[in-house]
Amino acid sequence: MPEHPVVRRPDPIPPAARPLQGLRAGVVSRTIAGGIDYAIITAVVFGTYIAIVVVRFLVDPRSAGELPTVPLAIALVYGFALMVLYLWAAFATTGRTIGDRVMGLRVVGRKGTRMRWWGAFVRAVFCTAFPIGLFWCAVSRENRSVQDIVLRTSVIHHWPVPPVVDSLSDVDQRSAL
Amino acid sequence: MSDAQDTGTSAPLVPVVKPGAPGLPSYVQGPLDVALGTSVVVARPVVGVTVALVRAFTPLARDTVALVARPPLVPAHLTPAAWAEALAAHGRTVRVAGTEDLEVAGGEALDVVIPTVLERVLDRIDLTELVLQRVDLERIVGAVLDRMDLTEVVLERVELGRVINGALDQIDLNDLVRSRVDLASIAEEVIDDVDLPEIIRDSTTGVAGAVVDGTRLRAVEGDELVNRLVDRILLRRKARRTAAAGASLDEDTTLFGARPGEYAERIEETAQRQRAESEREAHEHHDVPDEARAADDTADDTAEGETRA
Repeated sequence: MPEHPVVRRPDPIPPAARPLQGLRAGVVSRTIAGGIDYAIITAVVFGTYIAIVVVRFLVDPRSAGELPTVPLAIALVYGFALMVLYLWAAFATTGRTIGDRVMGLRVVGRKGTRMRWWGAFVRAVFCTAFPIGLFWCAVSRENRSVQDIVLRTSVIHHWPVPPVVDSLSDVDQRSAL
Repeated sequence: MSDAQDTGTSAPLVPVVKPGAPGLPSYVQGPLDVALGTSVVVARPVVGVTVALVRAFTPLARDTVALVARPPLVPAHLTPAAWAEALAAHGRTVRVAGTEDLEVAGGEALDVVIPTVLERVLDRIDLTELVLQRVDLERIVGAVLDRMDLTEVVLERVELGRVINGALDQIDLNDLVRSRVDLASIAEEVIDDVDLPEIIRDSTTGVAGAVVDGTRLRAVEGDELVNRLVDRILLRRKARRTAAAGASLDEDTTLFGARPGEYAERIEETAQRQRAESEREAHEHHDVPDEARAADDTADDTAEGETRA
């Protein structure tokens, strides 16, 4: 049996999207992905607030009538930190945030591979602090945002492939075991 | 008759006549040969003299017979010739009548003789060998096949089911197919025709998957629309270079399933195509000074070189 048997894989990516794979994504896809990420972080921030309210009520039921006030600055810092952590983890591991995953995008580093930890951290901070830089990719001739230009990263179309489909193509290998 | 011999392709001739009964015993053959020799030696001068005499006397005899047959001064109907003719006419009548009887008798005799003779002849010869040597069998078979519809005969006379079953019993059809048929290429062809990967993909992609796919593709259309708009506003002539050369799509192998090396080549091709397209467009419009374009390209190439490194 050859080391890499030639097996026709059922390509789970629809034909219309196949030529896109590996190309840098445009502003609309990336904005939608970013919007999803913002929605998630916002939800988590509000969820934290609700959790605080619930815990407070459990600790002191008399406080049910009034909602706690949280200073906006603290909320923003909390959201900022949360966003940085979230993006850092995403860029450094799979290269995909949840929004990227939904839109079939992936962040790759200078060499076209997964970013390093420190690079991912810098990009996460940059993206969170200067989100407007994303829109430069509409102007850039290479579809690069400000963060991409500075850190030499790219956001490419790379639709995630469900593992269940992939296992179909391994029938030969499985039966050989 | 001897077509088989003429063609020269037949097997060497072998005797087809079988030896019959043995000849006369030697103690009879010797004296018999002596007697025959003597007779020939004696008879030859006698015959020679007789022939010479006959030749000498033939004209005289002919004239004498003519004179006797029709003597002068005798009425014609009283001459010996007239008598002889009358006798001949009578004899002819008898002979004609007798011939018919003889034919009947002869037919009966042949009925008895021919089977016996034929049986003896056939005993003596190897008829099969004779036919093989002397008969052009190919011509005969050809003529027969021309006259009849062999397919029809086979369909009518042959029990095809039994023949096929018998043949199938004797051969291992699976083994035969495996050894003689290129199953891999046939399977490949069938897969190509029915587009099996697409069917599997469709069957494994649910409604949610289709919605997500559609959303992504519409977003890509939006990307292109915005790109075109911006390029037009900026009076940009060159096409965008969106291929991230060197981008690896194999990275999340462990997390989301392996797709080794499937797109790397395609991305490189797209990058080259975009580069060529962009250069061609720039060349057509001449809106960018050559030096600027060259510097731009050099910068791009350097960047790509770095990414590849």
